[in-house]
Amino acid sequence: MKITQWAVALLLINTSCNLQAADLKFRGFASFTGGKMLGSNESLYNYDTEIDFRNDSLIALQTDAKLEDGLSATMQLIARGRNDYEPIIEWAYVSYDINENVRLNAGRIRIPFYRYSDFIDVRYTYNWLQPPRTVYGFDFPGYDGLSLVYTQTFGSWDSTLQVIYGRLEGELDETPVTLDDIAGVNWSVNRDWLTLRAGFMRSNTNIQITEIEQLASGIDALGQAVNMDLSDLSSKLRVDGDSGTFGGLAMGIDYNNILFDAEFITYKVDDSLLAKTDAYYTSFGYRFNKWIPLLTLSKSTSDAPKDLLNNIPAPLAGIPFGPASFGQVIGGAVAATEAELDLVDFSLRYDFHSNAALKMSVTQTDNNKGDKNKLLRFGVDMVF
Amino acid sequence: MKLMQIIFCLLLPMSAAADVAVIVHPTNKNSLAPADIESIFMLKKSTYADGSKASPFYLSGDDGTRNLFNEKALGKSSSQLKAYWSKLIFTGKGTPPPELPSSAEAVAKVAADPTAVAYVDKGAVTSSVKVVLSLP
Repeated sequence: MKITQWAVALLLINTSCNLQAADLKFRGFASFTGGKMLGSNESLYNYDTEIDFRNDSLIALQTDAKLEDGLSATMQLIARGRNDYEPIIEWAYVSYDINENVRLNAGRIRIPFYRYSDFIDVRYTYNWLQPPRTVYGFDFPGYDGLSLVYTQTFGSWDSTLQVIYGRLEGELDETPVTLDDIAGVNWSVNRDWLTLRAGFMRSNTNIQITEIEQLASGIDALGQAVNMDLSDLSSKLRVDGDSGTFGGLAMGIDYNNILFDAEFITYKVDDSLLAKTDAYYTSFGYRFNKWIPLLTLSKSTSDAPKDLLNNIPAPLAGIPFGPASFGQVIGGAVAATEAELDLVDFSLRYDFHSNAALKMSVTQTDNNKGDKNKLLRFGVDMVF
Repeated sequence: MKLMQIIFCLLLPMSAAADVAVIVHPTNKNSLAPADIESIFMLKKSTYADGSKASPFYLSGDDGTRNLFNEKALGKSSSQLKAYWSKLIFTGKGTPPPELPSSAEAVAKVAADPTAVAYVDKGAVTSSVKVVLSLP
């Protein structure tokens, strides 16, 4: 938080007092997206059967103040339709080029979970209308801390290595989230038509999910009632400072207008009711000059943390707890985290202007329990 | 098949562009292979072969010279190039090289700056700069 304020302050001082010395640039990007469900009684990503133009629309403005000797300050404001276009500071950092290969950024920075994380809002830079959310599920706000980027060329390979450290305190869909001691590294290499990326990250994870909190407080109350210490069990449900790890692998091919992309991610939070989740997508496309059709197949699988059930004291398993027995309620909550979701997406991009692209996509999800949803979206993405 | 051919023809670019020359200062003795030019203009490399600093300049606007250079020397359409720079700009990983408004100004800039490298319309080349590569 402090670092962010400092970055903003520096930017303000810079614009007001020292306009001559700073090379000040304003740039931005915007997406205007509409969509609706194709089937009746369906909903997905906040869309329903009524047409909506707010969910995925956004406009952003970035200010870069470039000073002498490799120092610069950057602030990015994003106004999202789903927040009534109330602007928030998504990025705010100072950069220092330690040498021509190493850049240090300090301030509020996006967590680089995925291959497209850093520019996920700059939709002009990729061909989908949006990356598949089976894999791109985390929509965390920025963290406050440091990012070191080391770029180097090895023969015909370009290499980018990023190391991050920091802390995140914010909200994820109105759920309070704190990630302490975020530490991560990711490495991508590119040669001609091939890009490869690998990333790893960990943090002490706190997420106050309402349903989990209710269940855990119920257990604590039961413990008091029967005069047993059940805090070990309730803590094993809560996401309360538990070690969370995230790993990802990605590849991209852009060869003779043939486009292939694939990404695999896996994450888990130890000692919590959050299920260990694996997800991947493969995407096939072809560039017909200004037109790019793209077919994406994706799947995510979540494994219920069944080990948790070993922590239920045997004498308690049969006693009444809410609607059923204690063992059944906890067993049901654990089993409910087991999930599987298939996604198929067809996207079409048309570069009608050198700064803008028209896009449409049809996304179908299937949870393999008879719940299918089909979403149509269309829109324009631009950079300026 | 016929239909596909018609679609392909419709999608092909219509513009025919003038010849492009990549120019440096006359005192610059480095040879520049197409791969070097790509690396320098994409900011993957910041020096010439002899280790001295390289300062690339783009042309602004969306004219034939710029498009031909993007396609032949960088292997990218103007949309792909825009996406490339947007990824760097909006993530704090880099900023694109400066742009100059015309071939004439690019020639004047290169003639005055021993580190400069630029691409210009071949017709604008004068004896005050050295041509290192011509693109048809």
